Parts: sequence; structure tokens; C-alpha cells
Amino acid sequence: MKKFSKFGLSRRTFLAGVAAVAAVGKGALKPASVEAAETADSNFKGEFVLSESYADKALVETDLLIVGTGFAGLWAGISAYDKGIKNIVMVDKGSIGNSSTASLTLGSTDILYPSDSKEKWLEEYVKGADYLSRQDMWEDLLSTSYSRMQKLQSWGLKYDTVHRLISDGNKYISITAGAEWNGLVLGKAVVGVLLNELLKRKGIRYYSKTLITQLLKENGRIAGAAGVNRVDGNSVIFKAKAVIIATGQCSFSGQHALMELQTGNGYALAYDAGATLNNMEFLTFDIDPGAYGLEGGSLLGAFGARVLNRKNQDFMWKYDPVNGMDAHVRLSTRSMAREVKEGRGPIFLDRTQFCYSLAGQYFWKGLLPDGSWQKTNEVRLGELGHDVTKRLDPFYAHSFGIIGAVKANVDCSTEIPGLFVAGITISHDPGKIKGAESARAMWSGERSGETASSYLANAPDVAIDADQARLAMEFAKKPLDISGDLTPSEVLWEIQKAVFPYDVSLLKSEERLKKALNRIYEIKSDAAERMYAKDPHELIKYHETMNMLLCAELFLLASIERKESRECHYREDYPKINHTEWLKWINFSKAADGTPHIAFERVPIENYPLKPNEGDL
Amino acid sequence: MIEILDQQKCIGCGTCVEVCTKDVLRYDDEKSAAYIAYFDDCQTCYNCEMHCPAEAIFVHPYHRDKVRPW
Ligand SMILES: Cc1cc2nc3c(=O)[nH]c(=O)nc-3n(C[C@H](O)[C@H](O)[C@H](O)COP(=O)(O)OP(=O)(O)OC[C@H]3O[C@@H](n4cnc5c(N)ncnc54)[C@H](O)[C@@H]3O)c2cc1C
Ligand code: SF4
Ligand code: SF4
Repeated sequence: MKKFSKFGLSRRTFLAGVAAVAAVGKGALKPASVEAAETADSNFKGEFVLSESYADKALVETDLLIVGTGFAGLWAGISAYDKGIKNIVMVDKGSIGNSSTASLTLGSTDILYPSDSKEKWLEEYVKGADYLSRQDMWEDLLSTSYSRMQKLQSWGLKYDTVHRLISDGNKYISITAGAEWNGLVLGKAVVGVLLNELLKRKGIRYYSKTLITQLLKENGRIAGAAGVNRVDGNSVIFKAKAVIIATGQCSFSGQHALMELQTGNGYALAYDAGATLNNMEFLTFDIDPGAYGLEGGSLLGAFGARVLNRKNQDFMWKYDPVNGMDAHVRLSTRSMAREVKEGRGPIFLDRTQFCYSLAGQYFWKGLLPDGSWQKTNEVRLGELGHDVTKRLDPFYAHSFGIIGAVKANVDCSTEIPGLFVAGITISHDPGKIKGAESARAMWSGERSGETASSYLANAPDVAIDADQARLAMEFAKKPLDISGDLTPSEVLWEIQKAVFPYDVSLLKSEERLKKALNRIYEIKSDAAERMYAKDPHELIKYHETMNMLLCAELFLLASIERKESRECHYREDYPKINHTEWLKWINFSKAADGTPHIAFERVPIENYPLKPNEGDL
Repeated sequence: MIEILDQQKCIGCGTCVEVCTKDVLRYDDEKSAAYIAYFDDCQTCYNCEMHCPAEAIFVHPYHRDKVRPW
């Protein structure tokens, strides 16, 4: 794998990087001299973006504000700019692009090649999501996916293409299992290419280390947002005619590898501004080791790995006689939970019969290229004497994130004029298929940028009332003034303890869900009275913890409401799928008294190409 | 989790502080070097180590304890 040579990084890029870090917070960071970097034995990689700094209570005006710079936000910036919107501000709570979950992504992105069958793809997704998919969104995504791939390639990205065998055993689906650009690999390569493209589009302004805490409206339409800097605690108002939220999802900051950024921020921002959330009952899980991070655990079964229970039984064959551990991840995680419930836990992963050469031909090369965190992890474990090929490691079903999100139209607009959503923040499909999530992020990023630019062509000017701005900035910083005794981490631990137990989230029952919900209400009232933030770093965690409390409440409420089993939502007291009564989305909006208002929306299945079998309806 | 940030090797470029995914690292003006400010928040992503031009960082592959499903 190509590495940057000592001087491989262009001076322009490096200087931009140095300037970017210099600009983050007052005196928080200091640039190195270029000489110092060049004399170091450098493996410095990547594109860095110049970040603006701001004084406390600053006002920044723009046409379009993009919140979050993962795959979705970066695509949105490029597509809006290319459709004529030049006055753009992009904000991230971390670094622009380089600290997103997207940049840590491994594995694959789904692409519909001209030779593929769109119908087969759609079937794979829609059946996988037990028909709760937004089929109109899939249609749009699939129709445009090859052109996005071509754009990425024309920008220099190298993709390895492999074919995934789909349910009926035919090669209909093409996916990528590896990406490379300028010595970067996988998600970092894609992010690198997108940042490189953005940097060519002059005039875009970037604000890193800034958490958006609230959306602002004027006469029912979006007028901007408030934020706060996690390094110096300065607050800021962004006045904007349109806002795209691309802030990822909610994993309750757990437990799967590198999902800790996923704190439901965009869900809370949109919900508080009056948008609707749905599919909140669908919390997905993956198969993970206890001690270290691993992506792709659910793929290991295809290459000879097995999960064993305490009695050393290769139990997955009992639950899926055809596929064993290569079952769909929702079944394998649920089966692990069943084994535990019936007293045969804990669960171990046995990789002694894992066929690396076979895996290498397919997914493994995509998961473990040199330069990826996963490869470093595996090599380093080996160096420490932790040989994953020989040891039986305890494995768990770990939360990957709620797959529901903000309800939107197929063009990524929401019911609030001027508000658009993209990435995992757009509610699209409750199914969990590898490669579909990044495909969704890239599609909705591009589409939301285009839609926002059409909206901006006729959007009226907006004004932000001075009182509203003052209150929003106070809201952003208020936790710094609370003299409490609970840290955000302590509160988060309690949220996780309420939500993550297998008999709450994997094997659900009304009784246990209600108990967990009551616990969340207790935590919420404790947090309201006692949680505090001792510095700006903790301030960001404070806001995120509040957002996760909201998500936990909605997750449990929706799980209680859905009296059937579908996709990853499994109710022991209603173990069957019920298309007659439950081909519905559960929608949440914020009522006037601040509580969640629940509404049910029938899936317009008659308008969609794929329908469940007659007999099932 | 991040185990070592060697301030002797650090050339003070600030890159790790910029790219840390969990805001674990901060910059010490007096020492002109980065330091580990919020160790408990590290999510073992290797971002800091991969971007460090001076090989001043070592991330240990074990991550911190988590709430388990069982
Ligand atoms: C280890 C791992 C492996 C994965 N592998 C795959 C795979 O093989 N294939 C696949 O399709 N998907 C995969 N995924 C999922 C993939 O990461 C997501 O699909 C992708 O990151 C979604 O991109 P996004 O732009 O929607 O969100 P993100 O990448 O999460 O970006 C959101 C950004 O918003 C910022 N942000 C959040 N809240 C705020 C706020 N309030 N204010 C300002 N900024 C904010 C965050 O800092 C972040 O940079 C993987 C995920 C992980 C963790
Ligand atoms: S490993 Fe990741 S989370 Fe930990 S300090 Fe480094 S960049 Fe930050
Ligand atoms: S990236 Fe390395 S050299 Fe730069 S500040 Fe961090 S530790 Fe120091």
C-alpha cells in the first residue's frame, strides 16, 4: 500500500492543515512549522480544511448551513455548490470530514451497475426491511448510484468492485469492498476525495469543533441555528435560509466499534424544531468482541467462524439450518440472546477454522487493508499475544444504532420549509444491509444539496430575532452554570444500562420495555436536576446525553407500540409479523406540552412496486 | 485506548487534536505539544496515531469497558 513519502503531501494541503488546526479555538492549538513536519519521519496523510474561528456570541450569515461532514454532509456541500449555491457554511462537532464516522467506515458501498438488475436490488432491500422501506427513496437512490460512483472515480477514487450473492443465489448486486485514494484507504479515501473536491470550490466556509445545539425558525421556516465550540465554549449564531442536517444516527454512543459519535443529535435538533421522527423502534445490532473493536463480525460466519455457547455448542444451526452463523445479523444476534436467556451464555467466537484465503478473496481484503484501523488493531493484538485466530473471545450483540430518523420527502426536504436531512439522519429504511448505509448517505447527501439549492432560488430572506438568538446562546451554554453532581458520562452509563440489556432491546416484551421506559424517565428527571458540565468538552457531552435521553424514550415508546415482530424489532409477546395491522410507520412529533405525540402512518404499499404476498396481508 | 502521547517526540503540529474523533486530545501552549486531556472518552479509533507525522502516539487495541447486553 502506498504511503505518503516525507514530502509527499503538497505544501498547500499541509499549510491548509496547519492553518486549520491553528484556527480551532483561541490559543487551543498551535501550528508547527512546515520545516518541523518535513524533518519528522512523516506518514502524514489526508486533506485538511481551513476552519474559521469566532468570538463568543458571533453571528455568521450564509445561505446554506450544512451540519455534519460525513459522507452525506460532504456530498451535500459539493452538490449544492455545483447547483449554484456559493454562500455555504459547513459545521462539524469534530474536524471537517476527518473525524466523521464515515472516515472510519470499512467495507462496502452498494452500487447499481448498468449490468445489474434494479428490480433484484430493490427486492433485496425491501424484503430485508420487511416492507417498511421507503421504496420511492430506494428507486431514486438506485437510479442515481452509478453516476455517483462515476463522479467519485473521476475525482480519483479507486474502488474495488466485487459482487454480492443475493438471496436467490444470482450475482445481481455489485458492491465495493475497498477504496483507495492518495495513500488513504476505505472511508478515509472517500472522505479524502470529497474534501479535495470541496477545497476546489472556493468560498465555502468551514467551522470545526462546533456542536449545533438548536435550530432557529422565523414564521415557521428555517432561519438558522445556534452552536457552541467544544474547545473554548464560545457560542455562535448561524443565520441561514436553509439547513441540511447530516449528523449521523443514534447508537446511544455505544457499543459497536467506533459508533460513539452517534448520539442522535440531528434527531433531537429536527424534532425540537417540529419535524417528525419515525422507525425509532428499530435498533440494529452487530456481532462484536468484548475487548476490542471489530467491524464485519456478522460476515465471519461465511468463512468458517462459529459462535459457541458455554457448552461449546455451535448453536446457530439450530436457528438457521441452512446458513448457520452466516444467517442474517438480526437472527444471529437474536439467537445469541436466546442462548443467554436459556442459561447457555456467555457466547464465544471461534475463528480456528476461519478460512483467511477465501475471506481474502471477498470481503476481508476490503476490511483489512494496510493503513486501516482494523488492520492495525488485528496486527497489534497479535503482537500483544492476543491471537484472534486461536483464542475463543467472548462475543456480544452490540448496538449499531437506531436506523429510523427524520421523516422526509423523497427529495430530502422535510415538513419544515428550509430544513433538509441527509445521511443516516434521513428516515429511509429499517433494514440493515452492509453497504446500504453509506449508499444512503451518499445519495441523500447529493440529493439534499440539489433540493436545497432549488429551494434557495426562491427562498425569502430570513431574520433572527435578537431575543431568540440570546436565548439560543444561553441554552447552548447553560449547563456550564449548573452546579450538579452527575457528569454526562455517568448519566450515559445509566441510559445504556436501561437500553442495552438483551431482554430489553433484542428480545422485547411489553413488561420489560415499560420498566426500561420508567427507568429512562427517572434518569431524565435526575439529569434535569443534577447533570452539569464542568468545561466546554463536557458541555458537548451534556447536550449529546440529553439528545440520547430523547432517543431512548422514543425507542422504548415505539417498541411498546409496535405489537408485532418485524426486522430487528422482536417482541416475545408478539413474535409474528403482522402485515394487516402493522404495515405502518410510527411517527413522533413534539406536542405543545413538550411530550412526544404518536401517530401511525400507513405504508402506501399500493403505490410501491413491491408488496408482501397476498396471503400475508 | 490511547496509551502513549510522547511529548518528547511531538513536534506540536496539532493534527491529532484536530482529528481526534472524541475530543480526547488538547494542545499545551507552554510545552508546544499535544496531551491526553480526556482519556476516558477515547474510542480506540487510531485516528490520532494514523495522522501523527512524528510517530509520537501509540494506541492500545483494547477499548474501555462497556455496558454489555448480558
Ligand atoms: C466501523 C464501522 C464500519 C462501517 N462500515 C460500513 C460499511 O462497510 N458499509 C456501509 O455502508 N456503512 C458502514 N458503516 C456505517 C457508515 O459509517 C455510515 O453509513 C456513514 O458514516 C454515514 O455517513 P453520514 O454522513 O450519514 O454520518 P457520519 O459519518 O456519522 O457524519 C456525521 C457528522 O456529523 C457530525 N455531527 C453530529 N452531530 C453534530 C452537531 N450537532 N453539530 C455539528 N456536527 C455534528 C459528526 O461529528 C460527524 O462528523 C460503518 C460504520 C462503522 C462505525
Ligand atoms: S484513538 Fe481516536 S478517540 Fe482515542 S485519542 Fe486517538 S483519535 Fe481520539
Ligand atoms: S499529531 Fe503527533 S506531532 Fe502533531 S501534535 Fe499530535 S502528537 Fe504532536
